[in-house]
Amino acid sequence: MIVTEGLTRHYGEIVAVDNLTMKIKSGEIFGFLGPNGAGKTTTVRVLCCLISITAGNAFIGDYQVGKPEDSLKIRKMVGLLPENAGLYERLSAYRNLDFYGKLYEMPETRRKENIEHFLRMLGLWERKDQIAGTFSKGMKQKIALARALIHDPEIIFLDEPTAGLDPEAAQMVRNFILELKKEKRTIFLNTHNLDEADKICDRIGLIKTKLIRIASPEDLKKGLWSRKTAIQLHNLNDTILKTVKQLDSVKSFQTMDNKLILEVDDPEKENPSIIEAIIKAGGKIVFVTEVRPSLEDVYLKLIKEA
Amino acid sequence: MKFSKAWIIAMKDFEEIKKNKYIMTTLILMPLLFAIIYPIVFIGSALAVENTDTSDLEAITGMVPNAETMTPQQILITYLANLMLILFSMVPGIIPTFIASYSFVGEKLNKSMEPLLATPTTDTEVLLGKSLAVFLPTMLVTYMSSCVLVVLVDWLTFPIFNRLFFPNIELLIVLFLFAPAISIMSIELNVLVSSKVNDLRAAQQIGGLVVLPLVIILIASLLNIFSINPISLLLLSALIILLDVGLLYLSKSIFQREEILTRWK
Ligand SMILES: Nc1ncnc2c1ncn2[C@@H]1O[C@H](COP(=O)(O)OP(=O)(O)OP(=O)(O)O)[C@@H](O)[C@H]1O
Ligand SMILES: [Mg+2]
Repeated sequence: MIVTEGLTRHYGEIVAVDNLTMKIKSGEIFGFLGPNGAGKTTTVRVLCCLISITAGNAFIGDYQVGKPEDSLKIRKMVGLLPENAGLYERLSAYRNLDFYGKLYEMPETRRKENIEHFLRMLGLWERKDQIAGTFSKGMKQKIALARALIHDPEIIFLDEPTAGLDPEAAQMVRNFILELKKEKRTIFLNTHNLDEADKICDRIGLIKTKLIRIASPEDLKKGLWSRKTAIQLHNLNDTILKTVKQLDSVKSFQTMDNKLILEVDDPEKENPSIIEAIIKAGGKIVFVTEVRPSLEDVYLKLIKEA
Repeated sequence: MKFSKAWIIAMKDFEEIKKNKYIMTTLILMPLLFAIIYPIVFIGSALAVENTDTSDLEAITGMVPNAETMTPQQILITYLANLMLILFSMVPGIIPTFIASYSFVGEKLNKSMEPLLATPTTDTEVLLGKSLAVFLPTMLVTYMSSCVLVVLVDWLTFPIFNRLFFPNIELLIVLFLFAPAISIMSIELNVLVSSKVNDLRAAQQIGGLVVLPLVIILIASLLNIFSINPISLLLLSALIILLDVGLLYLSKSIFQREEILTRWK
């Protein structure tokens, strides 16, 4: 649905996006992660035909980004929630949306239906006649989200949709995004919230001017470290350590206070006998847990290496 | 280019303008003030001097068409009325700086340009829509206040001329050619200014420079270098229209998505 081939964008001397090649499938939620200034917003602006490409190609559906005759068609297909809500502060929430509906040349009935549908979904229908300038940041963000959807776009670009929202509002927006996925829309999500990306994205692209990696959250996490097992004991002593050291199944281990962290090739198969051995050696086990790297660990490691 | 899209944008801007008390007050009061104060000062002073000697008027007699058939007072009034028309053209020059500073710089400061540009509209449609939203109210208040001006001048001068002084050819040229051209020039200058300036007041002050050509014309005619008559007004209008065309190209080259999002400060 979205394809980039060696997409590059410079601002004068500054290289904002360098040789970006990726494919985003129809109906997926794609998370775009990267530090400040990594080129996320630039990529979105290029894909929405707002700014030009310096080198490379990009396609939205069957249309080519940067081709003048395709620009209007692409903009009609996509919805954009920019970094700043940018509502008309003197106009009502309803009028803000109505204006955009008209610009997308939506028939009046469909326009009205959509405005009501989205405002109700976002819990703002009762306040539709209120002036946007009087809304809180979160409410403005929701109106801007509705605005991005008003014309039923197939592809939605969301640039940090939950930035600055309270946890409840952020949760609501996330659930809303998942609803959109059910409607088979393609979602391109820029975010700094790793937990959010982990929870809702089908695939994640890590960018720092260049694309660092692109994979599902699971694969990203799996690819970096093998799985580990943590065993919390009451009494970690030398006898227990000696026993563990002699076990062939344990490839390596670390200790932290009374905690043993083991690296095992096949934990499902080996762990029961390891635990049995520790108990036999007099170990009193409190907890046994699997240690998985969080997306944050993966992110920090990959960005540091890049 | 679809005019309907430009019109949708213009309608949205009208609505915002209507809700802006500051602009609405300026829009109503300033032209009205001009339309009332100028006639009182100019025509009033001419009425005050009753026994004008023709010799005093020698300098301006040459500037007034058909002066030989007029009384000295009629000559004086005609001369001052012409100056007044140029001064009144400041209305279509200044009004756009108030509206445009809000609708262009305001939209930029408000960051509402990016979502607008992400819609399937062309740069020309957006520029045209936003320009219309400045032009139409400007011309509306210009014409409305010109009615006040005409009535006031005719009421004051009827005893002197025994006919209606306005409308005359000069007034018609100013209202239907010169004033719209000045207003368009002002709008285009404001587009250029708004790409560089991030402050409403500063935008208004720089945009206000548009009255400079008018001041020059005024001084030139006070110094009797330039005479205001239908031909010279037509030539002036043509010159401003030419300037408008040049400025249109400039403002169109500045009002482009890429420029607005990456280079506008
Ligand atoms: N208009 C501009 N002129 C010059 N350089 C720019 C411009 N816009 C962005 N850049 C540069 O391009 C690079 C990428 O910026 P971009 O806004 O795409 O990053 P981002 O990933 O969205 O960052 P953030 O997470 O802070 O939003 C940065 O180095 C930035 O300084
Ligand atoms: Mg950004």
